[in-house]
Amino acid sequence: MLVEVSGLQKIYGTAHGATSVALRGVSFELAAGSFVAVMGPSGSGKSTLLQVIAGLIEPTAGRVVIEGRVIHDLPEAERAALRRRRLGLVFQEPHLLDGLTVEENVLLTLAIDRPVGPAERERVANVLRQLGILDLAKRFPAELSGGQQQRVAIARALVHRPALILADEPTGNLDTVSSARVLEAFVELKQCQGATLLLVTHDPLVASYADRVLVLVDGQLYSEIWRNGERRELFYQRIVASLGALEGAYQ
Amino acid sequence: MSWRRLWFRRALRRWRIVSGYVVAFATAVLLFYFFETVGRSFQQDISGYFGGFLVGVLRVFQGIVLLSACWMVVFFHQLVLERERPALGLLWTLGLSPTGRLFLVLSESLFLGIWGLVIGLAAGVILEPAFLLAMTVALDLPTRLPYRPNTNAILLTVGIFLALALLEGLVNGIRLMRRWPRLLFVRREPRHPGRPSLVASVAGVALMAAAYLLAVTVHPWAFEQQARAFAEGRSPLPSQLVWLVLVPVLLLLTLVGSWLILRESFRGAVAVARRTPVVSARLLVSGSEIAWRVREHALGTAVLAGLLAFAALGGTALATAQLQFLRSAIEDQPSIIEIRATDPSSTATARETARQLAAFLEREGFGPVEAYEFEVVPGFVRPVAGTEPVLERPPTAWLPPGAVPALIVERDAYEELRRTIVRFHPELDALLPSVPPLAPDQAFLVLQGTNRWDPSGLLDAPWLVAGDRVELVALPMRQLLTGEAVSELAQAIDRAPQQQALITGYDTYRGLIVSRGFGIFPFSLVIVVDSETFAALQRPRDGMLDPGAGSLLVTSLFYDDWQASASKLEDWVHTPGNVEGDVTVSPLPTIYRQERQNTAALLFLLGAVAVLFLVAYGATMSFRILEASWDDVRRARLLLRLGAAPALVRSLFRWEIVFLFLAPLGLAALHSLVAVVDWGRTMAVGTVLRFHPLWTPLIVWTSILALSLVVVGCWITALGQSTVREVMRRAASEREPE
Repeated sequence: MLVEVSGLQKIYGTAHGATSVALRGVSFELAAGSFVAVMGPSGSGKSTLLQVIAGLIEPTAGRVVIEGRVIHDLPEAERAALRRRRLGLVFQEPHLLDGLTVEENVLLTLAIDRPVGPAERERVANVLRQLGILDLAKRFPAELSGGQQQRVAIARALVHRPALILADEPTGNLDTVSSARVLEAFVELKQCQGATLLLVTHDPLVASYADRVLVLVDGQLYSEIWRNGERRELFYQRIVASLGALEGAYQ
Repeated sequence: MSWRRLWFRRALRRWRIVSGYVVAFATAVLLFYFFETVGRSFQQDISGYFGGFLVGVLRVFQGIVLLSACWMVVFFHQLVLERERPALGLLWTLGLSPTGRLFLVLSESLFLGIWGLVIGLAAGVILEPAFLLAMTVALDLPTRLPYRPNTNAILLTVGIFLALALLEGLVNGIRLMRRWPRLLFVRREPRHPGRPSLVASVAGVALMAAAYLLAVTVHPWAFEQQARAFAEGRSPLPSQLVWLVLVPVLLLLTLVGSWLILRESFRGAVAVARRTPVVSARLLVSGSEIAWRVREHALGTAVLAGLLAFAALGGTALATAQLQFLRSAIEDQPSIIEIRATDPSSTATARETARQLAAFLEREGFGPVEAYEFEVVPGFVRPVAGTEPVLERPPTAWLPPGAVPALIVERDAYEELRRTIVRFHPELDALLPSVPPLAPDQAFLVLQGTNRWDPSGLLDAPWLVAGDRVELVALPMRQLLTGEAVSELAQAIDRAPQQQALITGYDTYRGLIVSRGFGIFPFSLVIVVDSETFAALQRPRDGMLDPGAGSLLVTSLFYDDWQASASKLEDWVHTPGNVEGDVTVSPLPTIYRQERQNTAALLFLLGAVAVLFLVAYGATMSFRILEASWDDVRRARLLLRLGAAPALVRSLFRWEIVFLFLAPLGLAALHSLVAVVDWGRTMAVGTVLRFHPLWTPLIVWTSILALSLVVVGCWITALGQSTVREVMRRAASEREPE
């Protein structure tokens, strides 16, 4: 297994002494090369789950094992090395560095690990081409639309060919065509390089690209929907039906 | 290409963001260098004229400037880091190692610091002559201070500010190594200012009222008691103790009172206002937010207001003390005008100057004027082996250990001078020591001081006692010692001829008669000797520093109602052509003018420090505005979702910024108002302004403060506008993280 999440709990404290439980004992596993979507209503703990897996915040209890290593037991330097070599992170917002061009923003991911040369520049060009933004390579983020910025952010997460991609609503700011292009890039990455994807989304259509959907409710794993080799359209319908059932159960 | 190079490239492209830090750093360097070189120029060129007072004040100010500069630089770097939080957060999530983060912040701090240092030093070297010229002209200093690029001053400035940049980079870098900059995933609980406490509110108001009451009643009273004690020759210790206790109590009461008022009373007022039947969106949204922020930053705001008021309060205290010096300079002078010549060839000129001045005074209706002429020899006295000095004298750079500069007077001349003084001022008979006849090689010590100001208690600590043997060294000189001449003197002292004498008596005169006009002497000691010893000391001999110089010819003019003559006398002395060459008229016009210049310089320097405080204040407020902006995005988004017009949201945020900017200033203004009242009451202890009101430096000071306040206000306005624009942009474009 590439990722093992077991008994994950996260409680946020407040200044007034009150607490808020974001995750309540979430457990699941991700096999290498799988594509898993996380869905759930607002406040169900989806983003928190992603941040804990990425080692950005500490869990209150439970553990996350990535490639056999418990991420929260790692020293900060090793955790940073893991993030820059094995993880690709995509956020709800693009978070591009405004003083760097598109090419430089993407190159930064590689440069943080080691000095980069022509080969790396070529790799950046390939990723930009794959996402349809190669012609924007010399532009600055302020000159791009929101959707274009998000595609640059995705290129930045893919360029170093990570083993695990954690994406939090990556297509939230994109139009349908751009969303499809990004999701196809994810699928291609998975198929060609065997990358594992964990993607948080509200959109059943986006989730239908995955092999498996985890539904979180109130910080708990409510249900899992597996795609059993069926076509995407059918899987989409099943996801919608499951979410409808969830809504009915709520009411 | 490495990430460092990419980051560097980015920093260059975004130079506007970091330019504020570079400018702040350069300003701090410039101010420090300015004070450093001004202090050195003062020491080298006019320390004698200023009696060391201003040099000491300059050192204190230099310390304040350094602290304020550090504060300003640290806050500006915080501003830069605050703006860089998104980028730093991103690098963190992309896997930049802890040492990489340390390197990033440290190298940026050093890089920007070096730029600021180079720009600040270059500006200092270029502008320093203009500063010095402006200062000497504005303060009417007797000499034009020449600017000399001083290697030590430059090295000191470079060392201090490089260390500051390094230290700051290290501290912030280590902080960043240990925790990640929040931004990408912000999770904040809803804010609630809490319920105000009525008891704490009342306590806050009571404490502030008590502090203000003490400031305007007990402080002037203690000052008056101290002045009276000096005047009457009593120990000022009780009133000094009251003052010493009063100051920390005042500070504590003001700080705690301000803190409680900010913490409790304001949110209480907002809570009460919200209970009224009609409430506006401004009160509901901004009232709560401001109440929360004021409460959150209550202690910091109270300290900030206190620091701002410190510029005013400290200025008031220093100005008050300095004006007391000014008063002492006037009131401690008996009605004696001295005309001196140090060169034997100038004797005739000195006599003619005395005659003309006497005629002038009589023409102006201050006569009759009586003249008394006598000679003194400048030199120093030091105990010979076997004598145990009771009091350790502060060493000077050019004097041998244990030696004290002195004026040597022949006994009969001294007694005649005394008789003349007493004839005009019978009240001095009991104070001015009388010297019995002296045998050859005998000496009598008269330590002169003022009956108003003797902070180190020199007047009450006999240094030499009867039976001690001392050596007397004559050092006649024709000019004030400056620069290299001082070091020459130190060498000449070893070669100077000596004359030994036995001390037969010691006494103190609590008032000034002679010697303050010659600034090479840190304090006044008169050695009265017999005529034979005096003649031996007068005789020019080999080994003297200035063999051409003779003893000082002193002509004292005595007349009534000298205070009324002070301004006319000063005008006459400073009219070109009246006093020329090697002739000096002292001490009254010189001392008075000196103290007036000290006072003006003090106010000038206070103004400079106050400007620095305001800039630092602006930096602090900018930091808070930027820090709060990340939370404002959520509020803006919420309000927009509720259907609020963007114009209303912008207006609310601007209003909050203006209020939070003005709150500490308002409190500081209140503190300053009380300080001014205190000042007025303290100054009512005596009248000093009838001669030369200090309106010019006061107006300059107030104008500088007002101007810098306007500049800081514009700065905050511009920052506030751009922040509000950014907040609105982000609020319109981003979605809520879960």
